[in-house]
Amino acid sequence: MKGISHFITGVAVGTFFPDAVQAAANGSFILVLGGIGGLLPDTLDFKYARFVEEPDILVDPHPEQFEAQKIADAIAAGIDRVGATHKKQILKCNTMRLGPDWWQQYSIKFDTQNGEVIVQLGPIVNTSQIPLPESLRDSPEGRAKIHAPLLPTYGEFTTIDIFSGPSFALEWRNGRVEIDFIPWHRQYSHSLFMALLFGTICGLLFGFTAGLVGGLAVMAHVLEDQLGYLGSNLLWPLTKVRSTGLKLIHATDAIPNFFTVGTCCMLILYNLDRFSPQPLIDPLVYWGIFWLPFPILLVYFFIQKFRADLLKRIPLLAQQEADLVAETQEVVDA
Amino acid sequence: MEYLSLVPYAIAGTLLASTLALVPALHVYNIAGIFILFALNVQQFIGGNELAMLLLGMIVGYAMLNTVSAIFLGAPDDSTVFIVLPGQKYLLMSRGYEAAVLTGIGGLGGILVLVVLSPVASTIFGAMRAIVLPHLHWILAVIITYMLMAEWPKGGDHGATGLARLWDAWKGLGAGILTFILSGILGIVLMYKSPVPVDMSFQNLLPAFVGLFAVPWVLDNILSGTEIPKQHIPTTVDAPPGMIARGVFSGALGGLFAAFFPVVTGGIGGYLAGHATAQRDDRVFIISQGASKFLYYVGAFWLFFLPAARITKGGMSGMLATIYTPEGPGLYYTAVALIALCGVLSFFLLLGYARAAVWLVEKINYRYISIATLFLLIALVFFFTGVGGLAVMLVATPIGWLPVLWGSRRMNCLGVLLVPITLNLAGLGATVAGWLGLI
Repeated sequence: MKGISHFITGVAVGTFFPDAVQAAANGSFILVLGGIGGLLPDTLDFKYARFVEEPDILVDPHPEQFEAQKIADAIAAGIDRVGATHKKQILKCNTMRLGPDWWQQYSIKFDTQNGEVIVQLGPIVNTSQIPLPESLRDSPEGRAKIHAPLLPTYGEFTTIDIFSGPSFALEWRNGRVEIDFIPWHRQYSHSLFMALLFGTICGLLFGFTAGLVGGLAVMAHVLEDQLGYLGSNLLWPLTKVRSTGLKLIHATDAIPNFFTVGTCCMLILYNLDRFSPQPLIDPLVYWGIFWLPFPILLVYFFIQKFRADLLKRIPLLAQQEADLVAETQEVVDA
Repeated sequence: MEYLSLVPYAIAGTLLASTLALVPALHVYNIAGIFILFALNVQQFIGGNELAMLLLGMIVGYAMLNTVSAIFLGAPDDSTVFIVLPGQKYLLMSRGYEAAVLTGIGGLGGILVLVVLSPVASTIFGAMRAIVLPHLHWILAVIITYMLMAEWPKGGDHGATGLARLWDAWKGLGAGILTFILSGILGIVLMYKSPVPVDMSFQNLLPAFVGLFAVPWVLDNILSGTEIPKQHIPTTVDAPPGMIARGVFSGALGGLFAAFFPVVTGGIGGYLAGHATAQRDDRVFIISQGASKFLYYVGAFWLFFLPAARITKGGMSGMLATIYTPEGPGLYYTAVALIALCGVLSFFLLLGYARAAVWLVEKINYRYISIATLFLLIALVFFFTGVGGLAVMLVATPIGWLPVLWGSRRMNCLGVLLVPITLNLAGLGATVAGWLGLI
């Protein structure tokens, strides 16, 4: 889900505690902890974990000497190495910055059907990812054959242009090499352990209720992420892989995010009223009329989604990786 | 029929504001404050309702037309700061006129939302105000927290070690947090010990806003030597009805939120609503910012007329409330009708002014326009707030320049408003001001 959905869910969780709401009405900032907890897992990943990951294969091209074939060869060799040694490798693709607002775009595709890596040079783009007109250079495409067997993965081109480039874990699994997108995401930060840790820290610093608010907010984030195609490493450090989610939504689907934000805002308002000395809201009117558009929208979304799913059957792994690509893009857009 | 006599006042206000809105950084509140002071001395010539409708016309005209200076002159304020980036992007793609029209369409959508909501607004907003009033401090703190937490690193690829990459990534984030803290301190100083003369205290924030938002942008345009390509004036807008509806819907959520909650500006409201409704398209974003900005300014003043639940939010109603109290549903619905009338009038004025702005940026070197804009900004700050105001602007400018240098969010400059108000609502303002040696 999008950052704002997780954040507002965390705040909403906090408002279910009458003493937290009453403390907030008397000047306390305790409910802010809910928001912090709600966004903490992604904060840890996108502001810390991604930068401390050490790559084994580093693609760091120079804009003037871009050799697509050389890059494709290096990536394919890395995948083959995993196939031969069964040892995990981290592939990192750096961006090419040309100036304060200009970046040289390139893209990579893992064609698992034909067993190839394809690398293409793209146009020069600005930080808003708008291409500079006529900046697309005539540069040969790079194609390299992969000899190791591959698990199907995200089949589209992954574009590398602005800010920070993506990384991939190349790992031997079930007799084939799995190309795992953005391996630093949804690991320890998205686990029950993290919920417990943050809750304990909040509890020690600000009291028992604050601990519950903080811990449950992290937990809410982790649970919301289980609704997607890729779950998370829920039982870290006991487990090492990210589980499969419920496959109900993609992280950046507009309607489920809007449903979450709208419902949480309504929950917050309802709880603030419910725990006030003189409640004003009639629950029947509030939930029966004002909230009604949200579930209707959600039902519409699921009807559309299941129709679309029936028409195109995309492998689960590809859907999971697509979700990760989209989530990273959201962080870039924000 | 008694309210028909108010129509010319509202139209006059719109026409007046439409001219003022073209002057960068000249906020409608700057002029409205002077009007209200003037009206106090000539009460035999202009009644309360007439003055209120004149100001209503002004705010409608301003809310619709201040886009022109933001897009074409690159001189935004706290509410148009989000329009400048996509607006100037469109300008560099020869589509500046289209960007201005898209914000206007957003504004028209905002009018529609106000009209539709007007029969139920008293009940909804009255109850909401009663519920959230004791909670405003932490709600603002939640907004601040989200603003700061949802800024993501814009670097970090290069560096031999994890620590080096982390430093590379955190430079921009740190600059953003520093910008927020420094602008927050500036806001506390302005609240407790402003160098702006007391008789001009209603202009207290003008020099800070000019320094934080407008001057850095104009300086950037001067230094980078931005060249504007020939502009295209299309006869149709590249935005299907569904896209307009999404933009208006998202902007309406943000604008109404901003109109209702203290200190939250149209820009912040639009930003939050954009996230909430997962909008990515530039056109949807521009339309939503147009709707959000319109509803922020006009909606806040509209709430002032609510018959059973008069809500005083925003500079205009804050100033007017000191001398006038609106009464009755008749006046409320007149205000709604005049918002619609003046809004549509302003939209047509926007089309004309945007064409004039296109002509200007095509005929005159953009660097000269930016230099003239800079002098105008300095002159206005000096005229309204004197040497003290210029000093505030000089302090605010490097703070506003930080995000430009480090590529962090300019929205962090809104710490100037958010920090002091949040602290005051939590009852901590005086304590923090004491720590800073201000009291």
